[in-house]
Amino acid sequence: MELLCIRQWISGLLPTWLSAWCIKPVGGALVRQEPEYILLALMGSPLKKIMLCSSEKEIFSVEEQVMVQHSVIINNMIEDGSYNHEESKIPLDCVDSKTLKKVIDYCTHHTHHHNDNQEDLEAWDAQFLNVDSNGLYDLLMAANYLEIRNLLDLIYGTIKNMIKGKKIDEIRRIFNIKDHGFTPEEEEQNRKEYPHFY
Amino acid sequence: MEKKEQQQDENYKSKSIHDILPLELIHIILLRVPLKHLSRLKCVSKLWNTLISDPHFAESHLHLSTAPTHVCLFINEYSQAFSVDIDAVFDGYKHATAIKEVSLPFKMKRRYNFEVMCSCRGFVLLHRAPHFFVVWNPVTGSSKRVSYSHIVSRCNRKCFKFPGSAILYGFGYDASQDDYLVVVASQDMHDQEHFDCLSFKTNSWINLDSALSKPLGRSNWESRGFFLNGAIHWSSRTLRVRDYSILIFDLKERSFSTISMPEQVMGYVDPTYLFLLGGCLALYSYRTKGNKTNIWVMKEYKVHSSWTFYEISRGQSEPLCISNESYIEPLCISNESDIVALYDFCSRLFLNFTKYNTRGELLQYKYFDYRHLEHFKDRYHWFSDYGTSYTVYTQSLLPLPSDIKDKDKDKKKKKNGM
Repeated sequence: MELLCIRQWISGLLPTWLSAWCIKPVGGALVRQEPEYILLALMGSPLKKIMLCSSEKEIFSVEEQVMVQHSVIINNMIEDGSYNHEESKIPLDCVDSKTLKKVIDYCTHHTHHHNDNQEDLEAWDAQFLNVDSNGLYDLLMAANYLEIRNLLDLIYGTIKNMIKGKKIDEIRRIFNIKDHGFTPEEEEQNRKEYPHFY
Repeated sequence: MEKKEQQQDENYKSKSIHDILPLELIHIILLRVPLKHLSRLKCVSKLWNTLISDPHFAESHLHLSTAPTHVCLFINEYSQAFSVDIDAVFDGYKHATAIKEVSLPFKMKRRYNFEVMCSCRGFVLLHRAPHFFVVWNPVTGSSKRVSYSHIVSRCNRKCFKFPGSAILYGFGYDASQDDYLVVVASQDMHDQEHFDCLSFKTNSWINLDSALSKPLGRSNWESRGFFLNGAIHWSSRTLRVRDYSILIFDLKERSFSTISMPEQVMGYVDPTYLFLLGGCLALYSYRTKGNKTNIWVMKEYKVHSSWTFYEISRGQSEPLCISNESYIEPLCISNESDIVALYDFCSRLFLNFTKYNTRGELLQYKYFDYRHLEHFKDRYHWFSDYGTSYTVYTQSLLPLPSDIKDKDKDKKKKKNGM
């Protein structure tokens, strides 16, 4: 039976108040939440899941819908059919377990809490990014690899705020830049010309 | 297991951002930093310096910037120059630092007369007496001076004084050549019109008399040109000639054309001036009767039907210290839709800025009291609408075309062991 027919049949089974609940804002547009998922969730069946494999060969199971919504790379993989639900797992060799767990955490929260007001989401994001700089870089590289637009914007914004308004010595400390690459003469010249930067 | 983790952490801790993040991500981070912080970041490390100094970086940053920094540069009759960061004017914390004295390039101990002419892509064109144009990027500090003495010697009685003696002048960028151009239309001593073009890339003047298919006329046009979309625009002197058109010179095609102003402008009894607002051509006219300012914005370039009208009228809520006769001069757009204007420029006491929304309602009014500003300790050195010139420009890090050329020359010299 065609998937569309199945969906229509299930929509027919749902009471109208529940159908209305199926509409969720995703990325600024209103998107119909697939009714069969709602029904399946109500019936207690598990939602479709995919397996992600970290560089440390640890497997993470996550709702397909969550990752598809956020990661362009994973969305493309599922859409072009290269991912087989029964057998495969998606290998993410450049993302370690700790970071992958966090990324999944971010995507899951943002999918399920999309209806929350802006302030709550921002507060959660701030708490989420309360990590040390190395953790932040790992998140940035993972988000870049998986092409998760909103997480990337969030991290770039945070790093930008770490830079804004700080003196050069402080910036070097924050980013652990021990060897700045200037010759001693160049460094002295800079300090002379722009003492207020340092 | 713990020991191994600890050691890994220590190794990790000793690594810098350069070791961990790939170059392309550091590049993107820097592209997202607002411009005013970038010059400082060049001193952080050699790598950042190289990334930021790259001319393609400046170009990308210009296009990526969602909130360009608008700065108004004033030069008074004593050649004192001040820049005002317009967004900072209305920001409570930064208000005091919004106005800064700047030192002009090519300034000698003697007070040469400097005037602001126009601006384009972060560069400001200045006129320096007796007969020089100076192009200057206030953010990077790079500047260049070129003489126009040949225009002077062609002219009447050798008292060719910019900008009054020029029929037209303008400053723009030709993307097809990656060149910054200055155009000047003038009359020689036989009343013959000439059109000259200065290329900053080649540092030479080109004669474009052939582009003048019909005479421009001595005073048919407001001489200051505005650069937009690869062309320079001038408005007609509406009251004087009863002609309501905008003259356009395309820098790539090197030809003139005209478009017309909205019909309603023909009914105005007060002069109408051309300016740029939010990246669009705009006109404003201050109506003395009724104390209103009419603003027309051409939302779609060269589409006549897209002329949109805004009216700013003096409301009841405006502070009483502003006199009844005062007029506003619109400057730029802030926060994507609010109009910022200079208010009552001839005031002897204050430098006033006002911000309006698109319905013409006053949102904010901020001023700088000349008497309390350090720069104006000598009470004669304030601004007056006679003798002070100004322009609004958006900051950029772009280099002059010749700067890149010189760098290549230096590299070659080093290679040849010179």
